[in-house]
Amino acid sequence: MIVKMKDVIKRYQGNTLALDYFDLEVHAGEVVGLLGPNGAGKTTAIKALVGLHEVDGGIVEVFGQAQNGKNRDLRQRIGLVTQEITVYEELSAYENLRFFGRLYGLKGEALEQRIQEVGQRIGLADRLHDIPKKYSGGMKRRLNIGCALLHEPELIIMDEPTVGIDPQSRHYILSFVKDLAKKTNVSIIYTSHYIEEVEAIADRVYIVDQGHIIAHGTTKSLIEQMKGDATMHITVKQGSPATVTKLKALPDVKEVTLQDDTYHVIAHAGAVILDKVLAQLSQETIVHVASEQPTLEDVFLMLTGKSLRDGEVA
Amino acid sequence: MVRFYLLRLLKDTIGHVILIGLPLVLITLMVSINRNVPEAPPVEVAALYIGLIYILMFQGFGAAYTFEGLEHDFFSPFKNRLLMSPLHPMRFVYANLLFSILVSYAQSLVLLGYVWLVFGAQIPNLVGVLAVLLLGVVFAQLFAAWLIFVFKKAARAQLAITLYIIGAMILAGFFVPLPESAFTRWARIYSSPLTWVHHALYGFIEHRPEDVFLGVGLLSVGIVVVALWAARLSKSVLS
Repeated sequence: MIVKMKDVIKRYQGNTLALDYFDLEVHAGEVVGLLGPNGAGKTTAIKALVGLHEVDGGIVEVFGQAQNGKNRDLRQRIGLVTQEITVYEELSAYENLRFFGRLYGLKGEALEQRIQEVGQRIGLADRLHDIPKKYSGGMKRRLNIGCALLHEPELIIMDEPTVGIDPQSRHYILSFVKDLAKKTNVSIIYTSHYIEEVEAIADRVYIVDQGHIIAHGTTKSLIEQMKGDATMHITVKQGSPATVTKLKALPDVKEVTLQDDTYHVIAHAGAVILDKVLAQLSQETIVHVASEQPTLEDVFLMLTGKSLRDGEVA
Repeated sequence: MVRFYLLRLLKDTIGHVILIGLPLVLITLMVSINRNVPEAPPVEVAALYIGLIYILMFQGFGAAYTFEGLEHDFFSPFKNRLLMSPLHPMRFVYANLLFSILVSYAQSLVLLGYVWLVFGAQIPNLVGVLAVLLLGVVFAQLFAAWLIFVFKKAARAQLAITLYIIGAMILAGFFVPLPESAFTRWARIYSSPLTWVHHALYGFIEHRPEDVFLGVGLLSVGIVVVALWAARLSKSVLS
């Protein structure tokens, strides 16, 4: 096993519980998605995993060794893509890659070769001698990823690597991660609050909320937990929290949320409730009614009672 | 790491303009003003005196290299990336300090070379003078490390060092000569590390070994104290 976190507890100053009996397992060659809203504990879990945080309890093992932050050999085997862009903006991409390669002991011809390989892989081969200041946000993100790949780590941890970039760059990065996982035997932990990203690339997903893993499994198995549940989306002219309360009180209704004047209603299997729902909405102007297959978002919604959009919990 | 840290400092064009261009202009201006003062010392003597004062002053401002470098590396998200590397984090602190010292010292040499070449200033005991200037730079950069570990933001460290430089220059009577008194005589020698360096420099220039010992001694103690204190503060930052 590449990573094992079991019953991990981490408290911050003021006794805030950041990780609450947190569990995570990653096997060789696997892409694991860590999904949760901002503040859920994803970054804390990663810092504990790479040894940047001491934990207050539980087991943290990487490559079968206890992670206490002092084992420098472990660091050689891990690549961390930080949530923030951490490259030197004044120096060229080449110099940035060279620096990070040197930190991990690469030199000479091997280093030059790796810089070219990584440059190709992140799509910056022809812009290696430009300074990141001249790059778009997406290019900087790609360089940020490249800096973590120089030393060919066996475990790559990507902490929200697509925050704040355009859809095209986001697509590039997702394809890149998929490709990396397919062509190498590297294990990847990918944290995100974008459900569709995790759904697209992860072999297994851990859903984290308030420092605790509330569900895990393959995307398919998690969605199957929703099987049979009826999902409806009813858009009205002006939604009201009072209606949410009324809809929640209906028999067979499991969860109701209101987002942008759309009521999202999840009901038990086989329940015929459309007429009851519409009756509750008789005082409102209905614009659109739709039903759809469950998604990972619905799983998250069911498990947490919250919806996940751009890291905000509604 | 050598290449990277050196490039990082050399690419700071604005820094070079401020730390080399500005003192060159100021030295030239002050020397030309001094020329018109009645009973002024010969230009080469005045140029050396003025040049050394500006060198000391801008060595202080050059401390920005260390606190800006350390702020970037350890008081920003960059910290996690460096702490994640197999290298001991103190190596990044040493690299910041070492290359800041080298670049700031090179700037001091440029200014000293300017007063020698342009104004014909004679510098007796050049090796001693260069050694004391190096000690001055070492102190300034270590002090900068201490400042950033205390204040945690380069802007605050910059304000603190600016106040220190201005205060030290006034107390030493470098901006405006102060009236003679027991206090001003004391302040000229002991009031700050800046005066310790100045005292040791003129000890070498005017062949007064006792002043050299006093200045270099105080400066050496200052360097050790600041280095130990900064190292102690760094532990919480680097953990």
